Amino acid sequence: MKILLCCNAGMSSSILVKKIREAAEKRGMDVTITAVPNAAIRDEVGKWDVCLVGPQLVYAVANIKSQLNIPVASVEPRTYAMADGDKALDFAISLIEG
Amino acid sequence: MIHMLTRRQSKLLEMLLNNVQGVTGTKLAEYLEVSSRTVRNEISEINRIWESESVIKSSRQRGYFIEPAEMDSVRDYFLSEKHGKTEEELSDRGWMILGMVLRRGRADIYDIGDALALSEPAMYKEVSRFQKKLRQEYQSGLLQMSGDRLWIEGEEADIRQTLFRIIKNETQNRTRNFSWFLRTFLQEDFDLGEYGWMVSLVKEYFDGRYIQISDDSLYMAVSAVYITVVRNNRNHRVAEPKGAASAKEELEKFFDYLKGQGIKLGDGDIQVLEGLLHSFKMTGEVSADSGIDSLSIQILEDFCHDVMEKYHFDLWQSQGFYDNILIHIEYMMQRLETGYEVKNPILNDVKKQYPYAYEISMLMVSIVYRYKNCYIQDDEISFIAIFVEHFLENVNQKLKAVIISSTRFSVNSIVNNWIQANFQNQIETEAMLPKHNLEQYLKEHPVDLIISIMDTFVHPTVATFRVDGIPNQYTLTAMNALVHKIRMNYRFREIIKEYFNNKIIRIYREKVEFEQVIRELSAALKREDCIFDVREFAEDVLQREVNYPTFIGDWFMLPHPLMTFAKKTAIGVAVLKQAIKLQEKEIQLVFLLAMERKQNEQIGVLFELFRHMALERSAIRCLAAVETEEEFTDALIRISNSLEIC
Repeated sequence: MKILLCCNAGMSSSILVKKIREAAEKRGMDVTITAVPNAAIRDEVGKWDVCLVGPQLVYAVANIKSQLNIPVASVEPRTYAMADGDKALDFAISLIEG
Repeated sequence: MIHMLTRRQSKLLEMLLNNVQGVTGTKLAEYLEVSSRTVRNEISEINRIWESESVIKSSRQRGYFIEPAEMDSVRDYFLSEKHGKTEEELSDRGWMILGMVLRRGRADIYDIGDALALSEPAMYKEVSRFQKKLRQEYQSGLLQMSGDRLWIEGEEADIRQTLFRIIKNETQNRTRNFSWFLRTFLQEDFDLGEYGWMVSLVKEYFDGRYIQISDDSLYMAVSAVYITVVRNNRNHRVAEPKGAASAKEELEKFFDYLKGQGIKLGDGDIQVLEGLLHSFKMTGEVSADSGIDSLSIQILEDFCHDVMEKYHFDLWQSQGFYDNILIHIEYMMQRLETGYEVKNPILNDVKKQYPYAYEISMLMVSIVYRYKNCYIQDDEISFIAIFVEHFLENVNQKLKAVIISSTRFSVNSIVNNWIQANFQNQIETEAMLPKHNLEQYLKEHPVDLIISIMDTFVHPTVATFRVDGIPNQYTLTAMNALVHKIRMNYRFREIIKEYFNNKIIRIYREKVEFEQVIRELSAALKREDCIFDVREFAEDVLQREVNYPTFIGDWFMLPHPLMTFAKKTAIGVAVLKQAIKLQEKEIQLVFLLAMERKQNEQIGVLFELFRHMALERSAIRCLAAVETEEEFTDALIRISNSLEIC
């Protein structure tokens, strides 16, 4: 599964990226995940299965969705704030299974 | 009485109409490029067709002239729709056939031939030619023929959509007007009075809401509604859509109004109508903020970005221009989605007259393709080109250049001509000076660019371009790069001025805690009315730092809240003369971001700047060294100009 994480400057989500990666490893899942800033979204078209968006970018969800054409949703603020990799991964899976 | 004249005959008659005093036979022959014998023959033929004694007379003094008593009938002939339209007349027949079959559902080819006074072979020829036109121009197999039967094929929704598209397109080409098509397609169901009533109804709706819609949009909307009503009355119904119809809010109001006036519209009808009306400008003053799809903004941003990269023009520089083209793109995307793309009658003129603007506008093709997987048509590109041309002519500010002249005058003019030839849209040569006059000139005039010829001179603050010989391909590339850099520098300068404000810059000379810095900057943001609540904002920022610290590099932090949005986007600054030690880093500079809840591409540009800046020790040092708030913004602009960004 390929997860893209998108946030404002692309700097703060590295911790969440790490936590999601750890959670996936624990479950033995094959997950590719990376974080990019909002401004770089146009280079990511066609490369990902699902995109999670930081809470500070909730207003951009529709826009990102129209660009990437994959499920896109904003991570629940609490999950994001606590950097809860397990919950974020569950959320990504639920988006794909939609 | 209908006169059928050949093209040559009507040309001849028109010539006489325009020269009432008379034209000699020789001149007519010259004009028509025929012998004078042919002229005589044509004139007697016209007189025969006119069925009056003689519409064209001749006299020894005047040559040929139109009999004054017949002047009105000749003028009427040219005013009437029939004139000069022999080609269109043939395609008119296609529409008439379509209309008759539409009315009857199925029809016999002989009956229709009878009604149009066409023989059977002529009917076959006409119908197959018309079917080809429908297929090519409308990708529609609406009209079917087998043996001697004609019928309409397709779902009612598709039939209506095709009719709408036909009317929209054909009226745009000005071959026929709206009521002509309605009369043709609806046959005896068309009633001029009813049509007039509907026009006034729809007009009243828009006038009442102070919405100005174009004539074409008004008549098109009426035509579509009229067709819907008649088709329903004839029991050609659109299947009810599954799930609720979801019209846009303004459209919903419009349909409710029509229903209130006694026009029966089902959900299926509305869905088909919506597909058409969706592409119309139907709101009053459209501001760039309201009702614009975020994809349109994205597409325009990509376009501005690509134009900057490839052509070095800053389309962002005028908000007014940006808003206008954004609204255009919004409707362009709606047209693309609904398949009602517009023709541009002056397409070829635009291509010919504004080749450069057209070339630039071609960038739009790949951008739209990236998001929509389809190509926009030449017509749409030509509309964009009109905007771009306007930009180049009226909005774009050329860079003001001075040339420091060489002692060799011939080289001066070569360089100047080279600038004219290659950068006419970018650079304006304001003056040619000897070097010793430059400083004086710079004091009195704004200058963006200095071009020095055969000289090692470089100005410390104004961008300087050195030409070391006859300009060649490399000089061209280098100049393009410099123009790009100057444009980008100006863009940074504008963005920095927009978001940094002396009143939210603080210089801390004493030792201070991080938390205190955040609280004080938050309070400053509140005083400038940028945020809603100091406490909530500051808590969110501090909480966020616990889980996600916002260090970039070793000396810079970019704190911002996770969930609290700002009233107005702004950036607070803390310059720390005594570094704050946090997690083994020595923070000398803190930018506190307050961001509105909306798309903002400029902030993305700033992030890019911050990232570069944070990793440059000298940049941070320079910013940390400022003594006053005023100095800070200037220093930041200088740094943005010196860093190699993008």
